[in-house]
Amino acid sequence: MRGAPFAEVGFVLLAALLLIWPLQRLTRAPSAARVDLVSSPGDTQGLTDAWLEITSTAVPDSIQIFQGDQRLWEGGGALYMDADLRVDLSETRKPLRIEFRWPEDVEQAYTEFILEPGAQPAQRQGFWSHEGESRIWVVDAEDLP
Amino acid sequence: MKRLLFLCSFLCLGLLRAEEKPLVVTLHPILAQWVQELTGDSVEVVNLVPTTANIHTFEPSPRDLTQLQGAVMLVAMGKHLEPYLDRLKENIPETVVVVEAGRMVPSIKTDPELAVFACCPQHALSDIDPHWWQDPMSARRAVRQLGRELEKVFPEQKSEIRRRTSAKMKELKELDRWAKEQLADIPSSDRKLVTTHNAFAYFCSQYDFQTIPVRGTNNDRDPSPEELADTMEIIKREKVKALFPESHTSEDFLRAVNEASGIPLAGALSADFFPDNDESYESIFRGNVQVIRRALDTSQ
Repeated sequence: MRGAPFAEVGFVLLAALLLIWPLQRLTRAPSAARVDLVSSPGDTQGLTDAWLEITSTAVPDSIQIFQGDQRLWEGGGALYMDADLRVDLSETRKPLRIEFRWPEDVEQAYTEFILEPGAQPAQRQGFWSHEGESRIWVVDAEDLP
Repeated sequence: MKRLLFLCSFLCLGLLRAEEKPLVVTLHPILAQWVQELTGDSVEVVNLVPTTANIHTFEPSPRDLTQLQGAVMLVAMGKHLEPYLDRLKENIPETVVVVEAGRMVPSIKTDPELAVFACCPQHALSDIDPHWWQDPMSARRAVRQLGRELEKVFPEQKSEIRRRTSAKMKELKELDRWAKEQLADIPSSDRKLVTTHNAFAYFCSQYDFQTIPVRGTNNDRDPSPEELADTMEIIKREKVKALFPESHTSEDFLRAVNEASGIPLAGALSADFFPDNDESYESIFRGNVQVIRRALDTSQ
């Protein structure tokens, strides 16, 4: 009988532990298994998901990519960058305009772009540029099988 | 007190079940490897197509469908490799995200004249070659697509999946660079891949080879004697240096061509990339490149 109060305390502690753990689990963010997302890669409303790789011979302060008035992407600070963007590949598509900002000590640099739009073949384009210059890139779009 | 303990234990057991990892089901062993690599140990990956199966004739069983009921994602190769995919989609819950990994890979059309050399009747009818994984740069694009889809399904792991995807893409780019180096000494006049299965168009396009399939495994129709005679004429005219049988496929027909033409048989190539033992995508691809190099690089 002398051990009974300790057993009671033990039971209470065990019960508390068993209760706290599941409560913790219940209050966590929902698990991925309950996430219901619909996969929708590819073309929507004339825009195509694309992936862009940018490799430069010098580290740019910034590179901005526009299509018409729409800024598609901006980045800088690394020799290699990549980005997910959405490009208009419709028949009325506008070319891409790329604006380069280079540090003062960079007189001229070469930048290569590889664009993989949707299921289209990859397109590669390289430009030499000075500080503040912009370049035009006419992007192709093939009829897909 | 006992009732309280019972209640807590019951709650815990229930939650242990809820702790099970989310299930991703794949339709090719290579896809299973990639999903596991991109997600680490955070998901359970089950591949429905066993390595002993024929990828072109496989049909999911009722047991497979049962397994899919609990999945969060189904990953297929795409490009009509799985002719049963549409039927499968109709029989799984709408909550299962279906991803076709090859969807963003630029398609290569099948030459209609080579339909008899297609791998199977279904693919003889399709105008797109589904074997995009033969080119690591196409595989790289598929891995990126797969990674982006995994990020959407598991948003709490987005940065980790993105990091792993970038690393995998880098590996595949390096694999492409390695292959170009390995194949560099093969003269363009010898860059002819004579195989038994019209499955190497992506490889040939990436590495500047000409594909010459000499017989498919099209069960509906074997090549006629006239077509075989044409093939013999082509391989003699093209002065091909070697014939490449395929692993997991009978080489009887190529052996007959070898005896008739005197053109040597090279090692076997893997067309469908079904791994033996612990093989990975990279090791299978490297194996193929080395077989081709040994057979065609006379500078060695």
